[in-house]
Amino acid sequence: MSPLRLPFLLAGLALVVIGPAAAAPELAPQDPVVDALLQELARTPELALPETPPPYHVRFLLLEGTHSSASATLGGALAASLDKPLRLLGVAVRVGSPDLDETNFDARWNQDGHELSLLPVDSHAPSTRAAAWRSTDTLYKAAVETLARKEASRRRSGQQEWPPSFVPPPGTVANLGAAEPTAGQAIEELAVQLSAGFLTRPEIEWSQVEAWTVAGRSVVMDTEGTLIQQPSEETGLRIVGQVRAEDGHLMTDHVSWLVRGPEDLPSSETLEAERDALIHRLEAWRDAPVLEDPYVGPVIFESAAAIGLFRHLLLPTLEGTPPEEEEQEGRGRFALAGGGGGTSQVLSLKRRILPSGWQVTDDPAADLSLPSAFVYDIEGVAAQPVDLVVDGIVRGHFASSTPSEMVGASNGHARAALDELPRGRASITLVSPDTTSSSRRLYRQGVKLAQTYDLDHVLVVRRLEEPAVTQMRQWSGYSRNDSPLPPPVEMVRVYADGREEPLRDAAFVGVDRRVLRDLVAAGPSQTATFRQEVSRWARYPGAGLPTTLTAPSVLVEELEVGPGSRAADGPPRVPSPLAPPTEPPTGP
Amino acid sequence: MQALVIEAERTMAAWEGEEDAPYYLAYRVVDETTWRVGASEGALAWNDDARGVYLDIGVRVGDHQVDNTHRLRDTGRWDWSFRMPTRLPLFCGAESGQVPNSGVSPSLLLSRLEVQRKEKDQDRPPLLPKPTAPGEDS
Repeated sequence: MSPLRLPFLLAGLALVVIGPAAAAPELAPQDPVVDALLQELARTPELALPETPPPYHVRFLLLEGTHSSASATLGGALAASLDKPLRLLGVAVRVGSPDLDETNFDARWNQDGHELSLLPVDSHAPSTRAAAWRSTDTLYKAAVETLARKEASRRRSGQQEWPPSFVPPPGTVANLGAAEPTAGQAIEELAVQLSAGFLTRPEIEWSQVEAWTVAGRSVVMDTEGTLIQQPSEETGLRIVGQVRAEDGHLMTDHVSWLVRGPEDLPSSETLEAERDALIHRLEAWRDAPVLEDPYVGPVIFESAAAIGLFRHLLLPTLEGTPPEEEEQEGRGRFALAGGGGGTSQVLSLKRRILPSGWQVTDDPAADLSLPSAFVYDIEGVAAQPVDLVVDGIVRGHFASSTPSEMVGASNGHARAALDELPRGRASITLVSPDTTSSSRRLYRQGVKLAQTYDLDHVLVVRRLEEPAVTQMRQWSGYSRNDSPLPPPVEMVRVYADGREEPLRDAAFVGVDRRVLRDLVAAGPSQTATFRQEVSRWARYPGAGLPTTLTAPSVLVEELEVGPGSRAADGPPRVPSPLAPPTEPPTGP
Repeated sequence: MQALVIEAERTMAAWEGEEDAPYYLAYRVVDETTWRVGASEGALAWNDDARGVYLDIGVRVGDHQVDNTHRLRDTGRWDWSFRMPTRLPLFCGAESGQVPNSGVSPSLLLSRLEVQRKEKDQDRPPLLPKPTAPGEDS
């Protein structure tokens, strides 16, 4: 069991009892919430069931701030919740030892050592302590039971060697401040203003604008002595529109921004221009012909689709935290993947993922003006730059404090929702090819390559479906179980003379990460910040972790694209009330 | 309300003469402001307010004898005539699910009712005493 760093915790207590001590990690002159949590953390070594040791590691993660959100449609506010206090507590309890504890085990309905609590919006020490006390007690008792099941499961598996369960963090103390809240009224007005642009667009069957902003701080503290306060700030804006083709097919598309503060959003003029571009895209999709026959040949991914290609096919293969161990029921050993068990998309080190000359790096602290940036991860480990892919070969993983057989220690990439085990995940990732060419040259290369397939055009994909947005109003038809790459929503045929012909209703066939080895050329790079889904169950707007990805447009040597299979509903029988009234026919 | 009246009239007019035209169309609007305040252990736990305008739409096709709201026996198909309410803009939405009810009932004397012991809770009590407020430390 790791020793509890009592001197540190006593210093924290001193903030309350006798005022700030010289060496006390003071976060604010009066910080009753943090002080209350430190007091409760100091009691955790006293937790013990008969013949069972106390937890060897307990971590509290406090998220607090001010939250505003608003939604609007057609120039009217749908809902608004402005300037509301937000205070959440994530509690993590580990029982056993760093070599073997209860976490990262499929405990079915049992808890896996992590829980989320709502703290009172009042800065009130007794109720804050009581909330932490209840969660810690519940988690500890469940953890003891889960550990016993995990030990029994491992005995049944017959496997002798396992990576350790945990590498305790170094116990860092740091105060990086907190973000100042901004008035929420401005984001409500912005949502209403932008939504009004759809009033004169009767072809758009449904539209909605959502805006939100949250600013405050995150504080991580644990029994290793960690006490780190960091600013926490995120502002998002999403404009969503839905259109229906004559054959009844629906398409939902969006334009979104994820930035740190409201002041980081583009100007009103730029936002309106992007909204209008979305409207034009949706209207063009409505009139585009359906892809009738399967296409097999080169495909160019550019703009947002290039980001989507790497986001969906590359990032999951570099998440190095082992998947949850599945409980062995005594029917023999299960297949291991990624050094831990269960199923995993992670690609082992020294395996090729990209062509020669390509590099992938990630540095969470590369640009602190991004909402995806952090200096310390949620386990209190300093974020480190990591070389993930060198010359096309996997050389590193996003790693948390739960090691794998391949990566033995955290590189400060632990990220998670408050009620789950932190896992190594992307934050600010850069994909760099060895050489790049212009878009025109990429098109020429694509058309030339298409000729070897007896095709007179190359397919260019510009946008992929965003499942979280599509599912706001319709069944997406996209399942990660079927294909790791969502279907295209904006796609054109490009001919040798530069002519473009839009297409709709298509889906990728048989695509997986091996496609990335077939990149034959790269074009200009683009950067996007989005919410990367952490679970296929958590696919809704607002789910996922802010992630920034810079990646080039690419020419893939060969892909199969087939007709989409989405069921079509009938078009509206009554015209939109936004449409101008039709003049009655005049006489002959 | 005026917008909904106009939309109801426009919809029925557009369907007039059609074979499968609805014979009945109803809008139900609930315009409500909700305040939720909760407290625990002497502290304000949450404090929310929200305004919502919700629209429930009922469309009946057929006639008064048999329409789409009658569940057909043995078809095994879900009746899709009821859908989630649509949220309307605030300045110009109905509520599905729970409906507040009031009841008046006398105290009762039942002649016979079997009562058994509740299943014993297997959960253990908290291992540590509940934290105390400042000044209450023993």
